[in-house]
Amino acid sequence: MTAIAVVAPMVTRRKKRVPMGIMLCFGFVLVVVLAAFVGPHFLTRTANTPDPFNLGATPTAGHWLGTDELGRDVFARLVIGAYSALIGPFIIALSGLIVSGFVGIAAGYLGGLTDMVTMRVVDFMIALPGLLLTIVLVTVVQGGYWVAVLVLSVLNVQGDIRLVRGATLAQRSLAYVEAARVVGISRFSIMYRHIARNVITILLANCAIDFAGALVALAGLSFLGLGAPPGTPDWGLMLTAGQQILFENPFASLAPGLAVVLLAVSVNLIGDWLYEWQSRVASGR
Amino acid sequence: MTADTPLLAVENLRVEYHDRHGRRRTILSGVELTLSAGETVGIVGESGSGKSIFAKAVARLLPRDVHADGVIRFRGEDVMALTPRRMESLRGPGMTILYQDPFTMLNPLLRCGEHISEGLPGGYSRRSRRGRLHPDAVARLAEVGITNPDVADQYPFELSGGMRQRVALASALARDPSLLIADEPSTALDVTTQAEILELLAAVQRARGMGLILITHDLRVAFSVCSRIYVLYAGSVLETAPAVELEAEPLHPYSLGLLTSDPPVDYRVSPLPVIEGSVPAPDDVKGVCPFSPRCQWAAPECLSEQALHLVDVGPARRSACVRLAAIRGELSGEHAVLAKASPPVGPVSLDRPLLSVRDLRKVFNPRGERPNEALGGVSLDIGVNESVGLVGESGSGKTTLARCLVGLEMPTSGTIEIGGVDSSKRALGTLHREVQIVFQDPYSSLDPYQSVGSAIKETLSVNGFDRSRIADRIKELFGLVGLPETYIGRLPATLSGGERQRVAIARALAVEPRLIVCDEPVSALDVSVQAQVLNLFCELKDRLGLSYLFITHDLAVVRQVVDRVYVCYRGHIVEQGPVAEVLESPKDPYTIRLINSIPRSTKPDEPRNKVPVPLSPSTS
Amino acid sequence: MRRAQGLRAYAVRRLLLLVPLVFLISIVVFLLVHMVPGGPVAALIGEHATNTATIDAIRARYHLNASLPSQYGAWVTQVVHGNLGTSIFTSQSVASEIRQRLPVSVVLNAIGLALALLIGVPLGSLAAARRGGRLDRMAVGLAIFLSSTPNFVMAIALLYLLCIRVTIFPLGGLGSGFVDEAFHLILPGIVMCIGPLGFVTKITRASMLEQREADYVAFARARGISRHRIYRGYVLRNALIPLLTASGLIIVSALTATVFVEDVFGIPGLGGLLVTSIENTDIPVIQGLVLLIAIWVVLVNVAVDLCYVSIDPRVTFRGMR
Repeated sequence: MTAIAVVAPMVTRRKKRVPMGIMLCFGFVLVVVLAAFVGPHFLTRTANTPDPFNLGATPTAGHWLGTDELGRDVFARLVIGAYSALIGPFIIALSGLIVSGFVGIAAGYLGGLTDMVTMRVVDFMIALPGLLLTIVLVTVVQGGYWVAVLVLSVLNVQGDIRLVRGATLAQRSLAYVEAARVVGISRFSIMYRHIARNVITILLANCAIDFAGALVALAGLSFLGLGAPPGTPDWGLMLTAGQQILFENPFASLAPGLAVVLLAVSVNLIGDWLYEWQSRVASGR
Repeated sequence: MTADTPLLAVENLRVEYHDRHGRRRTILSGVELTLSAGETVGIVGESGSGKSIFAKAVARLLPRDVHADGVIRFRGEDVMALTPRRMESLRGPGMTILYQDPFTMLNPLLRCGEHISEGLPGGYSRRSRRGRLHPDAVARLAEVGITNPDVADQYPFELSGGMRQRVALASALARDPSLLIADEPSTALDVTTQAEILELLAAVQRARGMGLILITHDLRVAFSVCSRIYVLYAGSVLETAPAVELEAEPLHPYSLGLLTSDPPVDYRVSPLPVIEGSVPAPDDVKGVCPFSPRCQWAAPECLSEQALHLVDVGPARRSACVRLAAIRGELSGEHAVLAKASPPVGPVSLDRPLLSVRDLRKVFNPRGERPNEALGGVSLDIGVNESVGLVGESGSGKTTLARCLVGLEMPTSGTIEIGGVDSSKRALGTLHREVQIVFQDPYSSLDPYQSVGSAIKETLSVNGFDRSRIADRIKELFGLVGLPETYIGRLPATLSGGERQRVAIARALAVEPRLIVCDEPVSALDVSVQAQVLNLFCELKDRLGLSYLFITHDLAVVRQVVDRVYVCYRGHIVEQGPVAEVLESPKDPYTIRLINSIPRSTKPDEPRNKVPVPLSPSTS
Repeated sequence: MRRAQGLRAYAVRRLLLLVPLVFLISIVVFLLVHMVPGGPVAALIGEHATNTATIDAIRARYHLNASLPSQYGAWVTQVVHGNLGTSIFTSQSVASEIRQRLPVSVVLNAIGLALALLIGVPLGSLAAARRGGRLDRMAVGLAIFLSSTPNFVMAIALLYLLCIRVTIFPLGGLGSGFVDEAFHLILPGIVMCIGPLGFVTKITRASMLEQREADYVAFARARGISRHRIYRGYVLRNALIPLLTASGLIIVSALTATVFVEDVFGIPGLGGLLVTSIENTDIPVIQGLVLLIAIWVVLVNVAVDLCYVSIDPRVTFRGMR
């Protein structure tokens, strides 16, 4: 009798392929980032030089997207405006990630008082519509861009904390968490090494969605005059100012509008893809 | 259709699906089955055998991307050739499936009575109003043993698993089908409930003269209910025979392996015969006998296409083993070995027990609900190098006890002494060097993002093990549990269930505890793998002088691994003693009931301690 | 029977719980005046007052010299009598301004929600039914695009395309007469429904897909239950639950959308009122609006909760047993 080698069962690892569409999204985001950081070196003067003889002009060779209501070059302002479009949302999303990472995991894993306190605070925030609240608060305090960023960060964090806490609770019921306790691994290690590793992808996916949401919210606030100070090349401001010359040069409004939409869509798609990817990985295991 | 036409005749059924990369993967390759009206047939297979897909294929309820081809004749008509509409009308009055999980099978928004009514003629109108149930609904519930008519008004979430399964059965029978396919109908239930449901199925089948196909992974369940059995492995039928004959003399190495590695409850077999390796995917064994990689009698002729066909080897018996004629003698030889029991283990002196639990109580007080007394004063002892079993069903408190022992829960009152030192109030900190635990679910007890070697390494370094010797210790542990060194860097997802459980054992051993609490460590594993792990436990105990608290609901498993056993029911110990004594002459009514619930062989004249158990639904 | 009684008791209890919540909100609203840099005087009359006499008069009029709690008491009494103060900008009573502008906004919101549900639910269901097909992919793409596009951008784009480029619709404002007003509201209504439409489509599709995979659907099919019955009694009913939550979210977020849409299209509704009061830092008006909004949100939440409880038997309310 010849023995035949046992067939070792091995699940082959799926190759992580990024679909073409998502690559395009990443590409677009990269372009915007470049515009934000490289653009100002070249275009600041152009963006801020009004041309009183050329108010609301349609696109020409000299002005690729025409001029705005004060005669300034729309294209240059679009490029410079990328900065304020990115920086606020970035801070909001990042702060959400960090705070919810720490607080959410702690609340979910430790339970008890930590959890109760966290949830009370968070629950109180959900009652009211965020953006509206921001509008009111920013108005009352007569603040500007950075006040808006602060308020939006605080409002954003509560949704993130909820999400992370939920994901942590799901992990906590799994045996490996308890096994780690029994074997003597510290609570801190369990929370911020093991659970964090299992929860990070969903956090990142959510981060992307937060970014897109913050982008739209900030643009909206600027649109209402509550964000960036007047005169700044800011996409939201350009949108609202451009309304006046919608007949003359629609691009003054439509170009920043399109920029906002494309950026929001790209980031949302990236977030969705990250979310899909992590849920596939989670169920595959 | 004439009186001779079988109710169901399946020929050469192939089922495939396209995976994410578009590759074709086989689930079933060329399955055959026949069933006459009023007959009960069992399909036995481990995970990956394709048995559940079979049920769906017959009823043409396969998921998207899964395709079947072959011939399925129901009452003479080829089901594969029917239009979807015609097929829909066939389901219900013709054939129906009872699924596995009673907790997800019923619509949570419909009341139980409505589940039945909607199958009965005129049972629902377009605008169904509350309170209008079909008059027969209550009678149908009585048929499945639910005598309380109020149940019809209740929602599924208000009922226990066993009750839900009965309601599901009544709903399935609403249209009086001629064929019922029951897919693991009792797997999700407790042992005692399982026995009730199986008896119910058998009774209903007899009363209605229905054809019944019972799909299960448990050979003994099949033996107790079915008249004929098909053994399915990696997508192919390897043997079919009348149940009695299959039990007496299996005519395929796999059937034999399945039978012998399933721990018997009547005596200990040590070590348990195992089938090395694990169940392969059907595509990995294409074109050869699917069992050949693991078969000790495999020879070159097993590697040919020839090995895939079932041939008649007796009246109403077919086997796919090409070498049967040559190895028949050896097969029965192996089977005979089974009958020899191992000598009983002598009692261990308990003057200085390793673990001593006295009057342990644990009460849970969830907010807004009634307090739940999970443990109501439990006492037990475990000696040095002694393996003790704790048997109970869900709600018995066994898991709570395990958690108290390892420090995951703090007892409300009572003491736990380990090595003479009271540890019940001790924080988790120092406890874990003495006591460790192996959990039930191998698929969630390892961090999916951490390699198995790294998990052990972390355990060692957190416990102050000498850094320079960690690598060696890891290799040593892997060797102890029978895993090759090449596995050290692998992620859990690349390991099988049995292998993952070995890693969990290695991790438990890493800190050199004296007692290991094993909480249903083999319940989630296939039978053939289960035997491997049970043998490992026995071996480690002898080699390392360990003690075990082996927690399980499975009395057969308990018989193989432990010396003494405690029986637990609703937070109290109701019986204890040497395992042979408790299992052979039980005194407590609950123990008796538990033992009676074990699916037995086909031989009706087996001596049993029979206390009449009324066919009433269990309330839990 | 038991459940109906329990439901009524729950509803009463929930509504009673509103009292402290509304109380809390009223305090916050009241305090808004005091959060303005420059103090409540600046809030109440802008920065024009330098005259001490005027300031004193204001202080007397608004009881600013009294203690905070008694100021609050006075304010609450006022509010309960329907007096929400006077607009700094227009000198009209806040309550009457709100009353004037309320109907338009309500209609706009209603149009938006109705369209979102009427189009979104069938679209999502169809997409789920034809999973992976062309319709499905288009629906998903549309949903993503719509839910990512801010409504003010969409408003301006549509305004440009359909009012300037091609003059199908009027340039904004409300027109006069019922038909004319309705016509004026078409475009804003469309913009209002766009964000929610994307959301509803996504949720409906996901929920339908989940239902189709559900075990109880498989079991129902195995029992030969008709497709129609499965769709209505199993899929739809279970899918309703997430849809309900979604509706609640939409109604609340629609408030924000109203602000932007009314601004772009020049609709004289509550949104426009908020914008003008923001531009002029007209605190009394802002106070009145915020109070109204807060109460509305709370009511919507309670309504959603009640619907939940009556649909899903698994949701138990405390004290029901």
